[in-house]
Amino acid sequence: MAKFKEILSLNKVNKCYGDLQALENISFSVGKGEIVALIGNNGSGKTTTIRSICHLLKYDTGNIHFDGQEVTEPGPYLKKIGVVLEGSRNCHWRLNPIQNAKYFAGLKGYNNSKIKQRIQYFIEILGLNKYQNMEVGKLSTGNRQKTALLCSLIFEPKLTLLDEPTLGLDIETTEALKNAILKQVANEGTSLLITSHNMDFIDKICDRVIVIEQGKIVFNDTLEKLKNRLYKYELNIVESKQTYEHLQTQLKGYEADLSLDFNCRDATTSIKFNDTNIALSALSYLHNKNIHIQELSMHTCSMEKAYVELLRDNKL
Amino acid sequence: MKKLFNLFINEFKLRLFEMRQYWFETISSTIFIIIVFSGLFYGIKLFSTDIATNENLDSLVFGFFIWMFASSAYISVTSIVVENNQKGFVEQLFLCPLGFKTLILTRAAVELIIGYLTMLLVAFISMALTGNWLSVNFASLFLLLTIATPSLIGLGLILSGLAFLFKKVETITALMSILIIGLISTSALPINIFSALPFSSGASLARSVVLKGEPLIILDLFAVAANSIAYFLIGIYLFSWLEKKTRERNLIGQY
Repeated sequence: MAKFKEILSLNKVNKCYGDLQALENISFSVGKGEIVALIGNNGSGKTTTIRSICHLLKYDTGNIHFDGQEVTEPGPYLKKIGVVLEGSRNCHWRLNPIQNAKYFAGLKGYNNSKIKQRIQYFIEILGLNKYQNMEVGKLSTGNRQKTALLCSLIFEPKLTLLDEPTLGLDIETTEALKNAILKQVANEGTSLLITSHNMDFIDKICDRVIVIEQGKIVFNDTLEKLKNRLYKYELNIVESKQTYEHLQTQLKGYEADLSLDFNCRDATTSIKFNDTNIALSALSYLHNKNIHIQELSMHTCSMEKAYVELLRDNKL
Repeated sequence: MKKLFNLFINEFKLRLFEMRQYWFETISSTIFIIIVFSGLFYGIKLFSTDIATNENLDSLVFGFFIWMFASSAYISVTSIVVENNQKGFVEQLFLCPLGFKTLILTRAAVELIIGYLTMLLVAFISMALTGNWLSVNFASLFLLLTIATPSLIGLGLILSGLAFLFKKVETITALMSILIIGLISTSALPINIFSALPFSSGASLARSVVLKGEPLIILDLFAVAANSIAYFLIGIYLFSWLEKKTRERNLIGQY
């Protein structure tokens, strides 16, 4: 985090709807050029946070700073923020992508020739060439989402807020979206705050993750740190229970550095660890004992697993 | 000021885009109004037998002009909230750096100009088709309407604020279109109790100066301007209050 200079910061933001505390002391910051994920279950407060930042709702207490200035109501700072809200609420459906981009850039106060060049540039990057003259209402969900992204990035925003940008998108479109975002960050140093349930997307794109649960932040650090709360690697060996017991003996002494489980249903011994020597030791032992294993797989800890585990721990 | 001008141009372009995209609605509504006007003109030709009847019918046609204009001025403000709520991108309009209120007023100005142009077009086509020319000084008419229209914009702002909070306000909108007929036909000048109604004094002044050719009384003009400013400010105040409530309840765009 320290490597990024701050562009956005929230300090103890609270929002209640009657008895329901939607946000409770939400404090975090986003650095310049940083991509931050805001994740959490449905109703956890992600969208409320996004809407608070752009003052689409009035929060009760706390403060929000953008680029060093406190922002208390909608105003000129919005000129530097691009927003893609959840769903299809971002474009005029009877206009085509180019007309939409021109209109929303004009709404932000940009209508120079540079904008026209940028529209063409983003049309290319987002792969909207074929659809640039079609009404947005006639486009697929993915292309509508790309149009929304086009409108939000066209004016070189310092910060872009993306609320569920991958909702309803197929794998190919998600990949295209990911590449467009990364290109934008690399070229222009735009900061992004993204909410999504697509953990794979978050994993590939974000520098940092903030987990919000029932209106409270329960984690705020790098993806690596989130994953490292568990184990870096997981080795799965499909064999008999006896093998599991053998391994238990063999790996004695490593207990503090690993977790060893046996799943009766698919006869899988699962070893979770950080030190790769543990895997080598386990495999070497099996090899020396001439134990023929049916199936072997090893993978790194996924973002999804780390997130689910975090939420489980948080509930315990 | 340049920012406002740019916003105005942007909204004007959007309106032109929309008129082109919804071309059928644009053409059919214009034809519909021309047919109604022509009908009134033919009515004048068929039934007028003396000067007095002619004057009454001139007054009726003139009233229709004003009603058409007043309705469009009022609807221009409410439609930005109601229609864009339904179109689904009203939240993006709230992200306008100059503020949503400025945007709404800019769009009202655009609609006012389009309203003037439509009124001119429709009036001349109708009069040319029927060969029956009303003697109307459009420059004076537009000037007086421009002074009186902010009162209608004020009403539109109140209704827009209610639309944010309660989402569906079609009944009140429909009722308002009928009420505007009453506001226009009420004789509110010289100053009387009806002068307190929104737009009534403006319509009365336009009728007496533009249609009847009576001299302009400065006190009346002042009364029209004061009425217009008062309703406009009330509209702004209530809209701001309702908008604040909407933000507090997180209801923007939750159609």
